[in-house]
Amino acid sequence: MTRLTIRARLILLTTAGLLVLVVTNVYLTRELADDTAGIIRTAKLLKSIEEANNAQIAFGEMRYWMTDLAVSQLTLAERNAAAARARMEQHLDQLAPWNQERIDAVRSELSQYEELAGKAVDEYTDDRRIIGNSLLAQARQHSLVADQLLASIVKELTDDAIAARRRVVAEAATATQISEIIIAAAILIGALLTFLVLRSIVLPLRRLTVAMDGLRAGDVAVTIPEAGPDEIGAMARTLAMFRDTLKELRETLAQFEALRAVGRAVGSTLELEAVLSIVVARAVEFSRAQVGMIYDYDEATREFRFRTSQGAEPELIGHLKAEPIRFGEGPISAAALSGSPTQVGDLLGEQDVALPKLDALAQSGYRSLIAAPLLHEDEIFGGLVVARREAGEFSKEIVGLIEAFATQSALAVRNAKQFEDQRQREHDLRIAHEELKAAQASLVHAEKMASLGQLTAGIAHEIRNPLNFVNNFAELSHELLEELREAIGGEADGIKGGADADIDELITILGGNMSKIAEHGRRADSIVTSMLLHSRGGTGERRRTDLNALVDEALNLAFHGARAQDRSFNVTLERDFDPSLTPLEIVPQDITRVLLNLFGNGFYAVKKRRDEQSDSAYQPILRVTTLDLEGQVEIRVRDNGIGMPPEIRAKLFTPFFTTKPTGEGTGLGLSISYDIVVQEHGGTITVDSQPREFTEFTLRLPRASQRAAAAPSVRVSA
Amino acid sequence: MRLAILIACLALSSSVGAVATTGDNDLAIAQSLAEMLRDARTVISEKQDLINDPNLGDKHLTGEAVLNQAVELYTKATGVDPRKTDVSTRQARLLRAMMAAIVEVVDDNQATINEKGTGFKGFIPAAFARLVDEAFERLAKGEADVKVTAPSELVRNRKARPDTWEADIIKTKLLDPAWPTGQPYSAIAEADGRPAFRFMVPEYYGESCLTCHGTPKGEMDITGYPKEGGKLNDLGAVISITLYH
Repeated sequence: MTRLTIRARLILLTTAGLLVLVVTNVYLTRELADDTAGIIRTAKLLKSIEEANNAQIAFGEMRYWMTDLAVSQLTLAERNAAAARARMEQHLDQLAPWNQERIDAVRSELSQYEELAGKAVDEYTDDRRIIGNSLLAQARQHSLVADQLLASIVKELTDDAIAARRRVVAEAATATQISEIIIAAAILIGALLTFLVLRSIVLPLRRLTVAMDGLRAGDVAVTIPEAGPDEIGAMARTLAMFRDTLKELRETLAQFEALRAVGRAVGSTLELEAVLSIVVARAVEFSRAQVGMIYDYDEATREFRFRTSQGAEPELIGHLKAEPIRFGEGPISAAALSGSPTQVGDLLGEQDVALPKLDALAQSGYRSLIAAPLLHEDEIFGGLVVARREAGEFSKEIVGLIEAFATQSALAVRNAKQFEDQRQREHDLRIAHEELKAAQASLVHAEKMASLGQLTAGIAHEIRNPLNFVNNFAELSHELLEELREAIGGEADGIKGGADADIDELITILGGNMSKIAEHGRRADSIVTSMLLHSRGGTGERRRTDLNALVDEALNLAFHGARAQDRSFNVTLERDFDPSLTPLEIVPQDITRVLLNLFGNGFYAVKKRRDEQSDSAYQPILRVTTLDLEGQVEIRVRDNGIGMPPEIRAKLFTPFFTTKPTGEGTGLGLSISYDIVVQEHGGTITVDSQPREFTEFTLRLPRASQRAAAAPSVRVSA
Repeated sequence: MRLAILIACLALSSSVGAVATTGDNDLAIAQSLAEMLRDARTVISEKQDLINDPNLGDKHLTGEAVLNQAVELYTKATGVDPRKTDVSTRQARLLRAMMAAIVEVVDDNQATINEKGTGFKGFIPAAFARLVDEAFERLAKGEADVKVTAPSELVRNRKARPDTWEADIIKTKLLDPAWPTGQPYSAIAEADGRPAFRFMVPEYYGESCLTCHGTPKGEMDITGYPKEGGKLNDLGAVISITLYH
């Protein structure tokens, strides 16, 4: 059906319909003619019956009027009888063709009746009634015979008519049945043909509509129905051309967009991997290939090395990575040497260039490829290869596109290399700058510490001498006072009587003063000693120490010291010592010193917060935690005191920096602690704090003894 | 009643002017017979209401009564009393036969005339005239015949059918538009194979005649007979008198 044009199909359908119509009509016409003939026959018979009946009626009328005439003598009766006679003759004339002989017989009887009846009337007219009666009786005999003849004719005609009518009815019924069958068959065939014709039109049209909708929706991959020889086929061909044109346009646009995207990527990012991934992905996409690779060219080794790929199987990637292409081999080298893309239409047929790479490609099922050089200003940066599983040459457009992609790739590689060089230089510079800054800081710190140490040593030395005098003379004075008390005690009886009590009291006061002088002298000596220690560095001996015990002892010492200074002071001490902590090598007195500093500062912070905060709900807490960190031991000292802002934290370990009022702190505690932990023990000390929340110092001491490097290891958390 | 008027209208328009083709005696006899017949017919016509009165039994319309009134009319018309004519003459003899026929017919139909409870009795002037003609034919004993005939298409009773000669005269003479209205025709001609004096008196439709013989043609009149479609002054009847020689 679809091999015919729609016009031919419609003509065929119409012709078939007309043919059925003509055949049906011919048949029906013939049947109708037969029926008509039968009906005509029947009608003729009915007409004959009617004529016979009318003849009978006319004969009856005639007899009536003849009788009436005999009685009334009226010419009207005579005329009526004549008229009836004439009508009867007419009816008999009509009947004559049916059976002339029978009609002649009727006519004979009729004539005889008429003659005799007429004579009878004449006799009655002439008042000869007896003769008239006799003649009329004779006439009556002929009348009866004529009546019987007419009745038999009517009956015979009626029988014939009934038979004819039955034949007509039967024929009509048969014709009706046959015509119904023909019509049903015609309707069925017509419906079937119509269905087939419509189907042959509607289905392709629907497919075309779907295709057009798909194209309208932008789907160029839509299937165009197969183009037959009919009008719809012509539409399908046109639509296919339109789709191809649209496809080409879209491909061109997509290529343009791809090139633009690649160009934009090249221009917007210096991430070479990203750019090359985009390039190779687009190259594979637009060349309708299945795999694409980009090779770097190493000028030093004169080799092309696999860089990245799109669509390549891991096994193939492994092959390609493992086997760089030496310059001068393979399509890439050919392309690089010629400066333009080289393609291999059938890898299986290119034995002369059958390198391992190509073997790997061929073994992976690829049959053809294009290789384009990544060239920029005669410098080779690598190569772009796309391969597909189908053998055959790539189109010029694809070759041109691959070349464009390769050019973009070359630009990207060049840009990336330049950028990498630049970034490496910047990185090197930044590292150098950082190291220089650190060195400077270290140098300054060292210089500061050195000068401070020298200054401190000098001052301490200068102070220590007079201080020794003070201390020594204070002790000596105290001893002298003891001797004086003993001396006075020997002669107590002589003195007791007067001002002995006052003398004793003065001695006692003087002794107290001496003690004070000695105490503060020792304290000053301690400070000086600390300064000397700070300037000299640690000198204590390391020994294995139970750090938990050391911490606990220092905590108790600090707490009682604080309580000694301020009886109202109270704080909740929380100990969380790691029981698995094994002894480690440290300088215990120095670490104790560090801990005392940290605890003292914590007590100071909570005390200050308690003093500043009227809220009685405040509970000063100092929590000390130890933890074995495998290779390191961590000590955390956390208080919930006043905390400190970041600017203070930054200066925390600076010598002589203190937030305490004058006389309450030397500003050397944390500085010394820093030196002890970092420089002496190679550990770290960090601080974390939130104003009016907490302060937490974290010490980490390495188990292995190591002296700290010159660089500071201070980390101040926010 | 209307039939009486009808018959009365068939008056002889003129009793003179007959074509004198025979002797004056025959003409006179024929004229007197025609006059007597018409007078008696006029009486019957005038008595139709009486005759057709269903409530009245004996109407005292006897043959003698009718004849007396006819004679009176005859006398008035001719100036001659028929009863006093010379009986020896042929005219008187035939006239008396006519009068006897009139009496006979009326008397023979007394039962009909006097029948109570029946309206129209069919004893109309035409029937009366025909019966009188038949009675006259018998009484005249072959000497003369009187018949009221008409053009063939207007004859209602076949006994009044014109014979060939009459039909010819009616057609060629009396129906001729040039024929003087009312003028009788007389001639010596054969009748039933015998030489005779034949006298034809035309009678024309008057207004009253058309009640039964006028239009519309074919419409039934009171007697049940279709009207002939006649018009005023059309030839409606012919009194044919044959005097055998």
